[in-house]
Amino acid sequence: MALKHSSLIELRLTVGPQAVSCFYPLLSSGFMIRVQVGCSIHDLLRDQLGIDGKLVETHIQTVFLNGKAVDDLHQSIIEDGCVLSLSGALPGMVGAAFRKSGFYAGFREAVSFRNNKAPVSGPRPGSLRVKLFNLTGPTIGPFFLRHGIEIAGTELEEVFQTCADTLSDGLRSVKINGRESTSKGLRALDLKHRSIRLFVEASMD
Amino acid sequence: MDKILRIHMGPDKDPVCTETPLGDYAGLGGRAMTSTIISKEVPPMCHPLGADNKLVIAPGLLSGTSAAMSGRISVGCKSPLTGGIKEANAGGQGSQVLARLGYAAIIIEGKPKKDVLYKVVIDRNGARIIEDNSLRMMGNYDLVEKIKQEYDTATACISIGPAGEMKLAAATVAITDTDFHPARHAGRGGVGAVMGAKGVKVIVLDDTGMKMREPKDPEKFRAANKKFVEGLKSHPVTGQALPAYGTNVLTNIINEAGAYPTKNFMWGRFDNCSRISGETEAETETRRGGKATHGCHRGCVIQCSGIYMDKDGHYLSKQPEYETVWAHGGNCGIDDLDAIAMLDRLDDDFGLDTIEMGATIAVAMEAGIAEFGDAQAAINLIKEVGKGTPLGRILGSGAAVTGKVFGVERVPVVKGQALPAYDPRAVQGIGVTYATSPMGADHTSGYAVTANILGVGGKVDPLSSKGQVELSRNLQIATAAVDSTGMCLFIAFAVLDQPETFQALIDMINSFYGMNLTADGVAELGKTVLKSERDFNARAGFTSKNDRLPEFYKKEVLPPHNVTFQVTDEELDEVFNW
Ligand code: SF4
Repeated sequence: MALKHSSLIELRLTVGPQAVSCFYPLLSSGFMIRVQVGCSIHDLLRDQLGIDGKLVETHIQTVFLNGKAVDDLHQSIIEDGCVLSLSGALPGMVGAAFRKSGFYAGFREAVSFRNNKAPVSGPRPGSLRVKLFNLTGPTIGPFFLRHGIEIAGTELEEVFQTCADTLSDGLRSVKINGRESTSKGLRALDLKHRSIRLFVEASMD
Repeated sequence: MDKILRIHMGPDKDPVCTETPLGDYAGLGGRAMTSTIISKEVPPMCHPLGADNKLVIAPGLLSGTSAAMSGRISVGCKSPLTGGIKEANAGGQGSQVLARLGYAAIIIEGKPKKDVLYKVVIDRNGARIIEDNSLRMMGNYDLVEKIKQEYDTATACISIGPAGEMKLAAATVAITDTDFHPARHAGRGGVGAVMGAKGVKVIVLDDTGMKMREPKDPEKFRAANKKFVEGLKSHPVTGQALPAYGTNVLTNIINEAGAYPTKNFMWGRFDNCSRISGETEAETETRRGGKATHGCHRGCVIQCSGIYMDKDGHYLSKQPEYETVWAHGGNCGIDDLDAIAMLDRLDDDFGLDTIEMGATIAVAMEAGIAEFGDAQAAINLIKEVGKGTPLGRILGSGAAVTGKVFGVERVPVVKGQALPAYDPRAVQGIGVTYATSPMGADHTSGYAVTANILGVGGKVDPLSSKGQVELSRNLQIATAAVDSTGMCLFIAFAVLDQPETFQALIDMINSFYGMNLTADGVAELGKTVLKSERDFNARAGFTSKNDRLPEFYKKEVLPPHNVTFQVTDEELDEVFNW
């Protein structure tokens, strides 16, 4: 379920490397992305988001699709309206049980995702809700921020409030609905009751 | 660590301390030591609060050495909560200090003839026991403050709060941490009530002038320790996730899985869980000038703990762990981290098990004593326990008693002990462990995920329910073994994935003691410990009927996945057929 287009603001920000972390809290509470659905989780991450296979292998240890633990990223197909949650490695017996294809995967058989790979009609546009927990925020979060995430304006407002100092130093460029703007223009935006499509790019400085 | 301190409290004579050689207990540490002594010396049918029960406190095999992660301390007795054998362990400085003082165990036995409170002081000159009624009903925080003023060279305290003095079944034994806060607790099973029944309020430890314990082969020991530390630091769980977020990193994930017990196990998801997640907790701690990464004892390289400050930047508690945040948070419908940290502080001060108290308050909420989600009401209920009011004493006796008193059917306990933070309907394998552990429902039996490396029980098919039974068995064996080394169980992750890290651990034990322990030998140790615990419970009257989850897990479906517990009684009875 994508956020309503009528009230959508498109924001493109370039920020200094230190300021990217300001946006990580948005990633763990969940956001929408627009992608081509009908492909595997693996292909989504690699082909559409540009996250290389090694990064996926090392940093994404625990995966949920619609609240069910996934073991095989190649065999699990993303459909329109799915909820995808990604996490790093977790402690505890249960942390080990939820690890993809872990030795203790049998412990949570009742809530395991059944592979749904079948002949598909091919990729088609759709959207999904994504949550990036714990260390996946810093490790793969920037890929999602570059791709563009959709959130509620109030959530972004909270980020601007809690990270005011870091962002006032770290903001390099602003585009609002395709037009160049400034930090002043950004502050003047009324974000309440609006949906935001947010793109964040880290500058090289 | 070549002696045992026996403290005989009476009633035949005044309390007296004697030191004895290790004898048959040589080579044992941690849980192996406590369970062997209890199994051998305590009559299984005795009253847990009577003179025949014993409280055994034992450092791990490598405590007091320079080995990383070696500071867990085990506390054992016949449990007033379960009626069976109990080993509860904790971090803090107590284990390292006690081991450096040369004690492989303290055994407190008998019962004082008078209603008198004692403190035990142990330093390089030996142990002495002193009557001190001025400590009566003191909270752990004030107590250690007073002790520090009186004994300025004290390096650790092992103590009970008012709950222990009242002999409540949820009472803990507190151990001071590196900042001398009484924030580490041997929490489960009411071990604090047994210490209270012995009339011992506090054991003051001072290892000033004592040296680090020396290994038999220092060079090999150093090399093995270095390898062990490298293994821990390079693993993503022990090197990254735990230091960054602590155990509470689990909240978001367990919730996402629909396995997060919410409002007394009614749902598997808590809507506001991100407000109390490890990510939010770490961010709050750092912002307020606390610490998101902190060790509970010196020599911990993982540092899963932290320091939680209140809104004004003053110390409130150590970082509440996942189990605590769940028990007082989602399980009670509470999404306020400050309130949860306050409940943690009160539990630590009164000397109460956070898991048992969270489960108990949720049962009380279901009974209508308070509303789910009412944080202030939960704080008031814990204060009732601290004051020892009639309601407080009921709550302090745990979830099972509270459920009975208020006529609640959904009471999440096994062998009288409350279930921890994973719903066994969603994670059925852990339900097997909850049901069959000799300790009662116990999550730490599942923390040692070393079983596949130990190779105990051979190869299993983890996807069959038989496989779940076998995995649970192997995990329990492996946990008993790790508990006996006195290592923090969080080492298990590096050990699971990295065989060379497991070998480094065995090499450390071998080079320290001049032994030739193998992986098989470690597994054998685990089996021996479990057997002696099962045997004690059988002699105390436990049968297979006690190895069951409460009925509601089989009957009530757990949303959102709408699952029930499917493992049969017959399969549960197979767990200990090895
Ligand atoms: S990892 Fe955590 S529980 Fe283990 S010793 Fe370190 S601080 Fe204590």
